[in-house]
Amino acid sequence: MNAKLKETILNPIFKGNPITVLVLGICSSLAVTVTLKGALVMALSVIAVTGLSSLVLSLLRNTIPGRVRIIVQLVVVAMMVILVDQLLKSFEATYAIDRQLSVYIGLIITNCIVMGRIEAFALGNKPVPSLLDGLANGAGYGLILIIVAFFRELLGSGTLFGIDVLKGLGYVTNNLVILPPFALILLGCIVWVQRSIQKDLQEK
Amino acid sequence: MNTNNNGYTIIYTAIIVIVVAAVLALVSQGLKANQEANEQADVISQMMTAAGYDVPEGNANVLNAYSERIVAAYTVDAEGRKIADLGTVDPIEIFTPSQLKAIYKPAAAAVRAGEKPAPEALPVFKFENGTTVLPVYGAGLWGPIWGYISFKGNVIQGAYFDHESETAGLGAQIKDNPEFQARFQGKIVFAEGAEKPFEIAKPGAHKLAAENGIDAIAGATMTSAGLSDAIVLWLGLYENLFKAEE
Repeated sequence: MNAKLKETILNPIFKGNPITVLVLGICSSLAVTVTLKGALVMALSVIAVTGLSSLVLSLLRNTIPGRVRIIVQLVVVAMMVILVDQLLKSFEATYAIDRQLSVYIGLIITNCIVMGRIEAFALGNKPVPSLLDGLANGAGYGLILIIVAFFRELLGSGTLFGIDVLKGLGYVTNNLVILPPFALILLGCIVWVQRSIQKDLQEK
Repeated sequence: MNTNNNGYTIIYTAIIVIVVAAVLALVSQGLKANQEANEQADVISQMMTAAGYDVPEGNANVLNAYSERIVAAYTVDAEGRKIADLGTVDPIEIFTPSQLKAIYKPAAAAVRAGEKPAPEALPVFKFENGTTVLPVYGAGLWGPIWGYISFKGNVIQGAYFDHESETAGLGAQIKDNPEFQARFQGKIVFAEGAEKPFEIAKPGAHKLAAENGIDAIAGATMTSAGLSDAIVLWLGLYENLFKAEE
């Protein structure tokens, strides 16, 4: 694998993470991180949508009329989102989670990461790097989602993936952790940790 | 190729939209059977939860549990007379939220116009523990809310509610807060001399006696009021059934 491709894959996971560095997709990361299961399904859905939309639009990139560029992107992204939603609804294992995530699956279309990567990368690059870029950005988003959900489920409900971890030890669940503002506090902590490791992100 | 002239742009967008529509229509048709099976199992487990059963996981297990516990399922007309069987084991016809909506809309319109609603067919489910499960459907703050309430005579045994998009932590408590659903147990509907069959009101604002209503959810006034209206409306539709059973 050449260095440029490797950079395409690794950059969005840490150094150029869409949530903590580009600060995109914050809203949904607050809403779906109460349970790990929900966060995991949301992360996989976003990975599928960003990867496939980047691939399709990269294949179409030379034919898209410039003046309706954004509309064409929206149509393709919307299709991917609806496909993911329909698939989640049709499997027994994911039906309940789809009901729990409700509108947030549909709102992936408004996730800035998807359109952002298409505009910034897929429309100017070949299909394979675009697919990888989309998948990696989805994964970078998913990683943060899962870290936040891990702490919120552990401290808020005393469980992990619905399995009792802390409650049996007499832990009193913390309702503040369940409420959306706490996701923002956790996110702030993650940004803090990342910036103290990666000094070049610090503003002088 | 000039991708910027008007003709090209119009034809291009038309083709994209038609292709996307075709793909989505195909997928939606292909997955419909699975989705309906999931929705049916979901409705059954909500109904059985309201009837006081512990519902197992997995569609097949839910259907099994249902076929073991259901005694009778049928529709009644506005007079409380039985119209048709819904089948008890297979094939079962379950009233899903979208079917409940079809009953709710004309009934709510009639109530607003000050007329008496005349529903054609209302579902009734009887389980082996002696409970009768009836549905409710109405409007919450952001979208539809619905649920199932189980009765023995005119005493509520249990309730389960669901919603499409109520606020998490506030209105969504009608589904997520077992304590709220437990408030319904033992309440009496259609109490003699009461001005309405049931109510959900904030503490201190109750018009009915304590056993004929429950406290609303703090911070979710609109959802509570919507649920209260929905229950009153549906109890009104079933009024003759309650009278017939006395």
